[in-house]
Amino acid sequence: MTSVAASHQAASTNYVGESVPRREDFRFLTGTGTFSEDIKLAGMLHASLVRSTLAHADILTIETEAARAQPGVVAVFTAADFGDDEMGTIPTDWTLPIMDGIPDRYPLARNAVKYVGEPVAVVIAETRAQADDATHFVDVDYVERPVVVDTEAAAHEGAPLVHDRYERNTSYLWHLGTGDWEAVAAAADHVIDLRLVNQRVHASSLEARVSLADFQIGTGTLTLYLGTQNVHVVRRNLSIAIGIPENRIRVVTPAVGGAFGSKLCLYPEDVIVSAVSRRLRRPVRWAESRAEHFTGTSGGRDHVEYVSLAADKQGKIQALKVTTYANLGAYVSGMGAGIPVVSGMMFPGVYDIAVADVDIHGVFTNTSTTETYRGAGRPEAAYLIERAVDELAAKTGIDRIELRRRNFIQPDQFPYANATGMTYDSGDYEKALDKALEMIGWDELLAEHEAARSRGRIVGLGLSVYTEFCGFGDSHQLQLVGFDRATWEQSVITVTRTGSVIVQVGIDAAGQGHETSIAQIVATELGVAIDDVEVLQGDTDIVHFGTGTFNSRSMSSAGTSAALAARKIMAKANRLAAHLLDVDVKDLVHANGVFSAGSRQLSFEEVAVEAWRGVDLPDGMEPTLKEIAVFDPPAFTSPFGVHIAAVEIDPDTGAITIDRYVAVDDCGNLVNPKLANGQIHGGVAQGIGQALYESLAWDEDGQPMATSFMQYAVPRAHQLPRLETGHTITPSPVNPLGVKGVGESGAIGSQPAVVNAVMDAVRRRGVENLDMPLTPAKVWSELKEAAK
Amino acid sequence: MIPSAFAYAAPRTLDDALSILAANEDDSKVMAGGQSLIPLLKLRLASPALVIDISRLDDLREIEETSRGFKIGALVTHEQLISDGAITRAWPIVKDAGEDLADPLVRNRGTYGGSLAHADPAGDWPAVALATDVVVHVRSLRGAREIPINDFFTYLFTADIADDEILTHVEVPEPAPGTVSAYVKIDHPASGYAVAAAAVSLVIDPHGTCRAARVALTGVGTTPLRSVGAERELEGGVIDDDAVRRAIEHAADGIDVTGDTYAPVDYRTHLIGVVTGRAIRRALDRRL
Repeated sequence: MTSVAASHQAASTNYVGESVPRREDFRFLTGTGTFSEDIKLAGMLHASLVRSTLAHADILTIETEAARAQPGVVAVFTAADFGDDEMGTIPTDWTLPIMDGIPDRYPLARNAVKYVGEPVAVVIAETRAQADDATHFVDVDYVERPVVVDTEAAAHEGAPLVHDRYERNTSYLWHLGTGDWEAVAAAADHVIDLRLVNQRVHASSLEARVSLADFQIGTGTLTLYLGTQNVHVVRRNLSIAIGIPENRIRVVTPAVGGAFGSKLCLYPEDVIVSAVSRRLRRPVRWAESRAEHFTGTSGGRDHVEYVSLAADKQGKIQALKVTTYANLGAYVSGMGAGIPVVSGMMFPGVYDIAVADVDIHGVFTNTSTTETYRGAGRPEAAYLIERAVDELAAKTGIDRIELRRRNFIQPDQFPYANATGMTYDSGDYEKALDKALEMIGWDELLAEHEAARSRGRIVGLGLSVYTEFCGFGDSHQLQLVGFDRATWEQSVITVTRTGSVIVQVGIDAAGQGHETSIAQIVATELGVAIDDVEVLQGDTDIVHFGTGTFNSRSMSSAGTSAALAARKIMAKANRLAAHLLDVDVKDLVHANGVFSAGSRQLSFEEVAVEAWRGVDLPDGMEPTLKEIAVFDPPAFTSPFGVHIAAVEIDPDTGAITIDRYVAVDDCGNLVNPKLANGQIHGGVAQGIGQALYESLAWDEDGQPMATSFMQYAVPRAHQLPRLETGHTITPSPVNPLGVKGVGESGAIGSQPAVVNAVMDAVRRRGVENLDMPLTPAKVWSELKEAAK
Repeated sequence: MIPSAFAYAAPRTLDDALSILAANEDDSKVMAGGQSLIPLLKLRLASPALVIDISRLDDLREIEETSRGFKIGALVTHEQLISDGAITRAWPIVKDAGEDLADPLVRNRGTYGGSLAHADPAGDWPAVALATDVVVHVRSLRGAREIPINDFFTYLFTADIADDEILTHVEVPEPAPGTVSAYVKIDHPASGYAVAAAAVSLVIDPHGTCRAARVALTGVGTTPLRSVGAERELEGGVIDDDAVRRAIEHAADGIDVTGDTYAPVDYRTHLIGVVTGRAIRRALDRRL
């Protein structure tokens, strides 16, 4: 059997490593994508929430009669209208084994409210406007209780309690580390101490959250449409909260306008619309306002950290001590409790430090919950160690580049287990550092800065060298710390009769371009044109199992499982092609979609047809080309990199300008360099946002100070520098693609680089410390204070 | 982010608009470009029973050159103003402020007259209007009235316009010979509004003596206002480095400066001097 058609398919199908244009772009750039709020169902009702206006109060009564009488109002519900079996507490995905459980978090507050914005009642009406109007007629009678907002204050004995069931606000104290800090520090030549605040920031996605529930009484099934990073975790947790079994829940996530970790958990509103749809037997949609997004959707970071380093005369870091107070918010959300702990595991950063003594306090306050946000623990860690290392350099007088080189973990030390329990898969920090220094022209810039300073200008140069962890691997280790999500990812590949390829993956994109990058991997493995590969995600009825998009795991886990499923397809296709060409498999050649044995050839499509027909198969082979592969990563991957910023401060105003910004990131092998670069750009923008502009804060009464983009400063294009990016490539040894992950790196390397640059500028004028965001007023007043 | 329900009227003549306004003066809002009012409605910071949309009053859409200067109709957009060669040649300060005002979408819809009537204490046009010494014209069924800009801004978001009056146009005078002007703003990173901004207009005679100085500030108090201290230091002498230094030093004299978390009082007070100095220098750089 031989084919003429096959000879036409000789074009290269090696797509991995190419900057293939993102196939999602057309619909996103032309406004033809379907987002959750674009879905309209017949008979759909609209939900609007009455939210707590107080940060801490007991609820005496909730008067809903007047609201019920408003035009278009169908129903008004409070917690009292639902039993635990209909609207139960919201489960988390990560409860540390040392925690005394978690406080009950009912979707609608029962008896008490714990933060401003907590849902208290829900108004259901025929239109959104009617629902919004009627919420103003719900009257809640509260008795105010003492409020605690500051994390450190909340951790102190005698602070007002957020939850009556606990004797203190500290939910857990987790210790990490090895060795005797006290002894090492006592004998050390240098000890530095710093107090750092890693403020609360908010992902502020372009698309806020939307949740549309559709309960069908005929089948007893519930469909929930929402923008989420993981439809399967939503399905599981929703099942627990409302008592409908998982096999009668379908969760669909259409296009998502940004997530960044803020759309990973099940939220109260998701449960509320589901329970109400079931009660009213009509579809119910809730669409978040921007103000609700700032007050109700989880933010990230919010750590107060005390860090000390002990070093010898040569600047060799001998020991690290950290005490962290991490703000959990009023409840435990999704993965919120675990983030501070894994942050602690990254405190040693890229340095070979033998002794570590780390205490992490997870603390409740009367603020909204904290959760995963781009980097989730690693930005805090990188900021902490990189600020501390610069401080050590300043104290010892050792050049900060040289100091870093003296302490780097060396390439031959990998896999490297650090002193706080994390294992890094691979790294070569010198290589990335040398490249970044060369790109920015470090020595020339230093000289330029010296000259500028002599003319009275305030300029600075700063760097960060970071490593992080991605790809959530080693399920054994993670389950020991109470992680209650899977670590594996699955892919299913089906080849149709006409040779088109359907890939189902358990990840859910929020703009990353998975439909392109996964297709690149599969097309390369199968040797078919990328246009013949379609990637499906984000619907539990299409993809039955999955773990979702977070921790920059989509390439290392889903990419790998897709490659492994494709390899299974190819193994079968090879056997079938050999059978059809009547040769031994080992004598068959497969290249760019063509199977050949000597002059005889078969196209991939022709093999697909035979697999589908199933009449001429080798003994024992089942018809069809359809395979599943599940990949459970044996370990984390460890991307790393070096970011350098050059800044200038306006002495009149304290305003900071970033003149140059270089980012060299090593995320292992690159599947799509353009998309990887896009991830770096976005991450750096968010990191600079935290360094210079953003702060999600509450006043002492627990009232939010940022409820719109009029107060909350996400950087605009004109507030960002041109980014000069580069990569080194150190393949990961823990997955067959050698990829590490790139989604969060930019947000990890950037804050310390920028703040270190500013500190470099102001330290020589006597400023000892600055906390983010580095607002002009703060910089100006510190400079003024130091000049006194 | 949905306004509470309101009635809507879109009259086609000024007389109709004035009649509707007179009949509903207790609980209505006049809307021109809507770029300030609509966000307030959506945030429910304003909940009028009636919105009177005057955007169909085509007579108010023009910039006219008159013997005394320019007559700017109430519906002239920011973009229209900064694209007008005659006015920006006469008053470069208009281009300074207008090009830095919000974004192209807002500039294409928002109006100069609406900005003045809105009387935002951090608005750009109010400061420019003070520096250029405009006269605001309003009308009601009771008749027409003109208000010198110095008397126009009375409190936070409050101007001297009665509930039954509509701002019809603004007269911008032809600058006196030797006039130079400039606007310098330090904006809030989130809102883009002025944390502090200075609008400066100076009349310099051929000998270099400053015959008149108008220094207006925005973003710093309960209304846009004049810096009496800076003007006093500039008027009557040659503006050398020392005069600029004195103007900076006295720019905030007598002003009850607003403080907030982004810009505490001491910092904003300092910024008043910074923007005043920069605006003076920028204006002086424009001397022929």
